[in-house]
Amino acid sequence: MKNWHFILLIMVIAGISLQACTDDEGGNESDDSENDFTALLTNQIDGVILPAMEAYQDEMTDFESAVQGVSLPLDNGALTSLRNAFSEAYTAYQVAAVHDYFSTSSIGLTERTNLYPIDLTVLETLVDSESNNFGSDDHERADGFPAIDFMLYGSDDVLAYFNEDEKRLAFLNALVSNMKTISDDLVSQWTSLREPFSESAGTGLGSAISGQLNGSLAYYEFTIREDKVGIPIGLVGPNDSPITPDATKIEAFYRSQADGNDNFALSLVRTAVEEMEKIYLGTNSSGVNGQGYDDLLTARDQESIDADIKAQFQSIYTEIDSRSSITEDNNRELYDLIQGLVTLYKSDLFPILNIQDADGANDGD
Amino acid sequence: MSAISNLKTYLFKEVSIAPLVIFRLAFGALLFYSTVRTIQKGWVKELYIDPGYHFSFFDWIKPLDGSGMIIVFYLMALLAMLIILGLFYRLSLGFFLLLFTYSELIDKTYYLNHYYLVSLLTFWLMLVPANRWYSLDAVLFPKIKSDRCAQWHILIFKIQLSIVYFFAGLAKVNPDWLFKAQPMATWLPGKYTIPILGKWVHLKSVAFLFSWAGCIYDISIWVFLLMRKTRTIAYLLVLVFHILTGILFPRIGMFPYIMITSTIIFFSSSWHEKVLSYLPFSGYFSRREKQETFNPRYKSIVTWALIAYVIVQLYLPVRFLNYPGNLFWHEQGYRFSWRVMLMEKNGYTSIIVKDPVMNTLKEVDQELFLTPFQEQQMRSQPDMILQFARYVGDRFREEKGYNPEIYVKSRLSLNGRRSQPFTDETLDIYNIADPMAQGWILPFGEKQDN
Repeated sequence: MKNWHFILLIMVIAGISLQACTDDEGGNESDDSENDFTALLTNQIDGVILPAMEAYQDEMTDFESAVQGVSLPLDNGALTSLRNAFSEAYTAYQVAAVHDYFSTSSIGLTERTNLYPIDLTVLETLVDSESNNFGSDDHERADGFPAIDFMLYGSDDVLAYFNEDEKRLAFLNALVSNMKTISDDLVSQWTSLREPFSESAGTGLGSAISGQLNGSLAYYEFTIREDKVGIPIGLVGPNDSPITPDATKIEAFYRSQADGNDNFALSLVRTAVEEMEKIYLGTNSSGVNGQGYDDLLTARDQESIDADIKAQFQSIYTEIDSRSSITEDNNRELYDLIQGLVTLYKSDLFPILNIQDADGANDGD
Repeated sequence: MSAISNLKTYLFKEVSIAPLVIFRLAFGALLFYSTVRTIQKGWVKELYIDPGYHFSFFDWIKPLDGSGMIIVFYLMALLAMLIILGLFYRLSLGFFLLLFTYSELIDKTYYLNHYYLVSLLTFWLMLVPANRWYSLDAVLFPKIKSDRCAQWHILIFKIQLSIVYFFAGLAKVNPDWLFKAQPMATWLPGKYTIPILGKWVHLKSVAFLFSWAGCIYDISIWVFLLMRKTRTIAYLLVLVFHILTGILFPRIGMFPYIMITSTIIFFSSSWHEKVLSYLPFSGYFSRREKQETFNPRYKSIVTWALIAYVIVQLYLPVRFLNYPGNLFWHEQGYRFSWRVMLMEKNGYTSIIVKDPVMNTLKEVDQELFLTPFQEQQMRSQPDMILQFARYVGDRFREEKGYNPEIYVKSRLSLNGRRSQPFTDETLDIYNIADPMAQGWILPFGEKQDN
C-alpha cells in the first residue's frame, strides 16, 4: 500500500505546485462567467436572429400586399412598386437566410426560396398549368426570388410579359403568398425556440452555440462563398460543370442584366456577409454591439484572432465595394477573401471555443 | 542461453487457467456488446454503406455491397456469443478477428487505438486455450478439458496491456501536455454541465492536474497492477480513472470499458478461481489435472515469437523518431502507437485541381465525395489528404481526359496555438513521387504561438 500513498502524494504535490505556478502567472485564471453563455445567446436570439426573421416577414408582408395591390394591365408605376418591394424583400431574405440552423434549416428556407439559376421552361410550364404546388419537386427549378427576378426583369418588355398572359400575375401572386407563409413559419418557430435557445448549455454538438456557428458558417461556405461567388467564377461546382466562369449563374441574374451591372447581386453578397459579422459581434437590430463571439475570444485572451477576423470582414467589404461585377477579371480575389474567413473560423475560432464541426458517428479517441 | 532457457521454463510453467477463462467471458461479452451497439446506433450504414469513398488502409480492402456489411456485423455478434460460450473457440475467434480487422481497415477515418487493441487481444485470445475450461468445447470435446494452462497464455495479455498504458503515458510526456495542459485546457472548459466537477473544469489548474495525473497514471499503473500488494488499490484507480474519462469525454465510447474489463486479468488466479466458482454450472467442471507436455521445439518457437512480438510492440510507438519534425504536425508514425487524446488539431484544407492546358483552377467540393466526419479527419492527416488527392486526380483523368495538377491549401491550428500554413500550396502532389519527402508538409513553427 505504500506505493499507492506515494502516487497520491506525487499527484497532490503536482497539483498544488501547478496551482501555485498558474496563480503566479496571474490573469490566466478565468472565472465561472466564462462558461455562462446565457447573455450571449439571449442577445443572439433577441437582438440578431428574431429581428432578422421579423424583418423578413415584414418585407414579405409588404411584398405580398404590393403584388395583391396591382392589377392588369400593369403599368410602369405598378412595376416599379413591385420591383422595389422585391429588392427589399430579397435583401431582408439575405439576412434571415444566414441563420441557417435550427428552425431556418428545418423549414428549408434556402432550398424553398432561393435556388438559382432557374429553368425558364419549367417556369413557363408551371405558369401555364396554374400550378401552385410550391415546395414540390416540380417547382424546384422555378421558385422563390430567382423566379420573381426573371418575371420582373427577364423580358425585353416586362409590362407586355404580364399583360399578354394573366396567368403570369396570378402565378406571381401565389408565389409571393407562399413565400410570405414561409416567413410566418420562420417567425413563429424561432419565437417558440427562444427559451431553449438562450438556455442551451455548452459548446458541444447540438448546443445553441455549436448550431449557430456551424450552421451559419456552413451557409457562408456553401451559399455565400460557393453559390454566390465560386460557381459563377467557375472555381467550384459539381465535377461535370464547366470549369469556365458562367455569369448566368450569379444571384439576381436578370436584374443584373437589366441594370447592366452586378451592383444588386454584389449588395446581396455584402448584406449576407454583414449578417455573419453581426452574429460574430452580437450587433443587435438597433446597431448596438452586444454579446458576441468576439467577446468570448477576448475573455480568453485571444485578441489577435479577434483582430484578424474583424480585419477579414473589412477586406471582404473593400473588395466587394471596389467591384462592379462578380465574375470580372482577377475574380479569385473575392472568393479567396471570403474563404479566408472560413479558415479563420475553423482553424482559430472553433478550437478556442472547443467547437467541433462534424459529428463523427463512431467513437473518437 | 541460460536466460532464454530460464525464460522458456517461466513461460511454460503450469498455472491455473481461471484468469484466462474469466478474461474470455468478460472480453467476449464486451465484443458482443460493442458489436450490437454499433449495429443499434446505425453506424454500420453511416460508416460503411453511406460514404461513397473510403480511406482504406490497403487499396484492395473495400466495404461489401448491399447488406454485406450488416451481415458482417451480425456475424461478429454471433461469433462473440460463441466466444463467450467457448464453442468452436479458435474458429470463432479466427473469424471474429478477420471480420473485425477487415472492418477496421476499410477506412482510416474510423481508426481508433482501442479498436487496434481489440484486434491484438483477439489475436492472442485465438492463440491461447481459453476454451479448456468452463466452455462448451470442453463439454463436447472432453479431451481438451483442463484447468491448467501455460504461464505465457496469461502473461501475454498483461504484457500487451502494460505496453498500452506505458506508451500512452510516455506519449503524454511532451511540452504541450505537461507545460500547457493542452489539449485538456481546450476541452475541459466545455464540460461545465457535468455535475459537481463541472464547477471547476474551467480552471487552468484543473487542466494541469488532469494532465499530470493522467500522465503519471498511464506510465505507472501497470506496475502497480502487476504487484500483488498494490493491485487492489491500483484497480480502484483503474475504475476511477476510466469512469471519469468516460464521463468527461463520452466520445471515447468503448475505451473505458475495454480497459476496465481487460485489466481484470491482472488479478491473482485464486481470485479468478473464486469468481469462477460462483458462476452457474461451475460444478460441472470438476477439477481435472492434465499434465501438458510441450516438445522443446514448440517451446522455442513460442518463446522467440513472443520476444519478437514484444520487440515489434516496443518499436511501433517510437518509430516516429525516423521522421524529422513535429510528430503532431506531420503525423508520420502516429497511428498504432497508443497516442490518445493528445491533440486538438483543426482547420481548413482545400484541394485545388488545375487543368494545365486550359490553365483553369477548380476547388474540389469535398462534400460530393466525403462525409463531414471523413472531411474532418482528412484535413489534418497528410496521408489521407494524399490518398484523396490521388483518387480525385484519377477521377479527373478518367472523366475529363486530362492529367490534372493538384494543389493543397491548408491552415491548421494545434493545441491552442494560432493557425499556420500546413502544406506547401505550390507543390503539385499528384505528379510527384513522394510529396512528404519533398517538404510538402511545411515545418511546424512554434513562433506562431501567441
